[in-house]
Amino acid sequence: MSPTARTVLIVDDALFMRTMIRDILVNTGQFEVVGEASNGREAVQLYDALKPQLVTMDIVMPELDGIEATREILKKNPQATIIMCSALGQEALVIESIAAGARDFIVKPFTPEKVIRAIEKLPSR
Amino acid sequence: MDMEKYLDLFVSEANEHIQAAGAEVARLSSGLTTPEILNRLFRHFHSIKGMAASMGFEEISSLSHSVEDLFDALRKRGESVPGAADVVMEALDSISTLVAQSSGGSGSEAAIDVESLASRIRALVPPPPPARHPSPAGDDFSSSEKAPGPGARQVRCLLRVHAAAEFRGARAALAVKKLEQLGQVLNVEPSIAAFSGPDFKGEVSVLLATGRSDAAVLESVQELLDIDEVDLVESPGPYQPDSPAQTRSPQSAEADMGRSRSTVRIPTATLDMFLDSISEMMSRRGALAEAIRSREMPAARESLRKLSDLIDDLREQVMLVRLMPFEHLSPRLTRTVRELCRKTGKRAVLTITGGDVSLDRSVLDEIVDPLDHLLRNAVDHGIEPPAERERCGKPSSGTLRIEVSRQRDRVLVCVEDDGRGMDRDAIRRTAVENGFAAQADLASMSEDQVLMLTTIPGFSTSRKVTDVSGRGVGMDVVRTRIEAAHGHIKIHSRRGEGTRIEMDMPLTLAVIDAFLVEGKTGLFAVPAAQVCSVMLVEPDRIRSTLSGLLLAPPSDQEGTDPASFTPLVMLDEALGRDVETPPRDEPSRDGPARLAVLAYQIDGARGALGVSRIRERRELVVKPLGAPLEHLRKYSGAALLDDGSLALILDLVHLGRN
Repeated sequence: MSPTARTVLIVDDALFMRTMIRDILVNTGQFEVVGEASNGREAVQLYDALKPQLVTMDIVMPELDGIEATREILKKNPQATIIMCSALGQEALVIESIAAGARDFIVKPFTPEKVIRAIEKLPSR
Repeated sequence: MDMEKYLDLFVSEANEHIQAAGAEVARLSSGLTTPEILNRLFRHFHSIKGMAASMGFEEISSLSHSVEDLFDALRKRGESVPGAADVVMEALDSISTLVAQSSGGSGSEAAIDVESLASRIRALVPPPPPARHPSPAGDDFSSSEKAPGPGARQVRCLLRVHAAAEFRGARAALAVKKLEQLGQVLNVEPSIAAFSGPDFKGEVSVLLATGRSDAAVLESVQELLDIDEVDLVESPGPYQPDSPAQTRSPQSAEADMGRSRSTVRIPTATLDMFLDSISEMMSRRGALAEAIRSREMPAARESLRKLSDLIDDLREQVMLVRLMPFEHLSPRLTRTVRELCRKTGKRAVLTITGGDVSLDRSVLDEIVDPLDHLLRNAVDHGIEPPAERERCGKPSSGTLRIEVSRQRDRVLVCVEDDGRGMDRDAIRRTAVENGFAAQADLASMSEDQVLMLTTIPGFSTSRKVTDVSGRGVGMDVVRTRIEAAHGHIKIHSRRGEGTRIEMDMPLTLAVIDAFLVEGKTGLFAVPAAQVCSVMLVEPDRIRSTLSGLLLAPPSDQEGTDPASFTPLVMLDEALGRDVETPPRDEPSRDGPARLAVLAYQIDGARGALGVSRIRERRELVVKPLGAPLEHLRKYSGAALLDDGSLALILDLVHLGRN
């Protein structure tokens, strides 16, 4: 793993998805997964505890959905970099997330190419 | 990617969801419907769909998708629909089977007709409820982090999202968000709500107020994924939302300039020239002071003369800086025509002649929106579709022309098209039907006056508009804006041949060529552009009638024609001062006192203004009246005199009887 690996928090209610995303990110050699959350509430708590450099955020989740979680995280951490992971048919929700401050989005199904493309282009603030 | 590894995960997690969903559906079957159940079911099928899609299992994914959509609709309503539980149960069974099949495990080999099942499910989806999700407060695209600084200018960014990109609307939204970081986003077209709609074409226009350079703006957006094209067009005009007529007078535009919503680029050589002039003025001032101190009048007079020349020169130089060639508006106007042609399927080419004619920035600001409006109307209503044009023997591509020419201190801007022309009969019908004019009035109107009916506020929005081809929405707004900028508008049109709209604008709003006249209560300025002649008239030429005073032609021409009598208004009376007799000039030694009169003409209508005395004609600096005085129709501004006092500028249109 390169010394400049960025820390990531993966948020998705499906273990399946979390595993897939984790594998893709780790395989790039540029990321270290420091936490996984299965709903928005956990996401906010883990963000506070871990302060990861990147968050991949699912939208539809129990407890607290991804848009709300994004809002809450950004309220306390305006510099947080959150990428929404969305399924097809949820464009309006993605736009809402962008309004809330999400930096980018990836549409499922995921491929390593898609994920890498999004992460590479992350603008630096 | 090694999908094998994920298969186990997929199967186990999918089965978890299937089991949980089964329990929820059982509750539904027993008649229990709560928002919680509906939400959970929505999430279960959403998850299954997502995982299946990731695994490439199309059938499972699409079947789950249809159930997810069903529960999405149901949860928004808060209740289920009859028959849902059964069909969903069936879907669940099918999904379970498919999942088992996917792992090569045991499961019936019977093929499942996913498509018909999915359509049965879709058939259950109720129409959306009337109340929609309110958008969350505080999250919108209008919050800007940086207010534009004093050097801000307006730029219009035209973006195109890559055609094959996923979620093009979301890509566009990211671009808007990015632009927000560079200043203040004033407008987005289409609106952001339309980004996720079915009609979104991937093209967005963002109006941004920013102090950053074009290069910086371009770079920031080009950085983003899937943005194909970015174009910047400098927008000279202050942004006006499409709202009903706002009577923004140029005075307020001038006052607004202080907040500089627009910037001017000046060559540094020009600034150096200013500084040179100023240093010369300073030394002249020194010489003047010295001459006064030593009471040497000839030397003082000489210094004063030279100082005056320098001041006039400097003023002229600064005025020139404010001038911008009309061409500056060209990109925006050509774009308007192009886009509208694309939208309407019509073809038209816009040519602009006289683009090198320079106008004061504030005038350009005032006319850009009306011009845009007129071009839109021309394409929308004037230019016929190509097939119709060919049938009429016209070239299939319409001609739109803007001609700009300068006449003394006025600029003439004409918008012309070779389209259908305006239908006077339809206009007359609409006017009568909606109470804008009585039948009797119409009979005495000239052809051109009938066309001007379309500029009456509310004409275009009257509900009973009979098919008025030609100009449509907004002529009243256009007229209001042009008149607020001290311009006049004239419409000429010929059915089948086209329409020509002429706008007569002042060259600059900052300086006016005017006659300085005296009234009982002070000095006033009369715009020279409208004055035809200035004369001293014999008192016997003034006739009294029931409707007011008339100025008769000179006695050797009298008796010829009633039209040679001009309506005469006395300045003091018109301004509300009571006068018993018409004021006169100082009695001359040669005869009875004569009246100083300015004869003027506005839009072909003649009038005359009688004053106490006419002093001189000169250029005067215009000062805006500002609120609340700007609402006084009789005055269009104030002119600054040498001694620092003000002469109110008269608005002849509202002052006289014409």
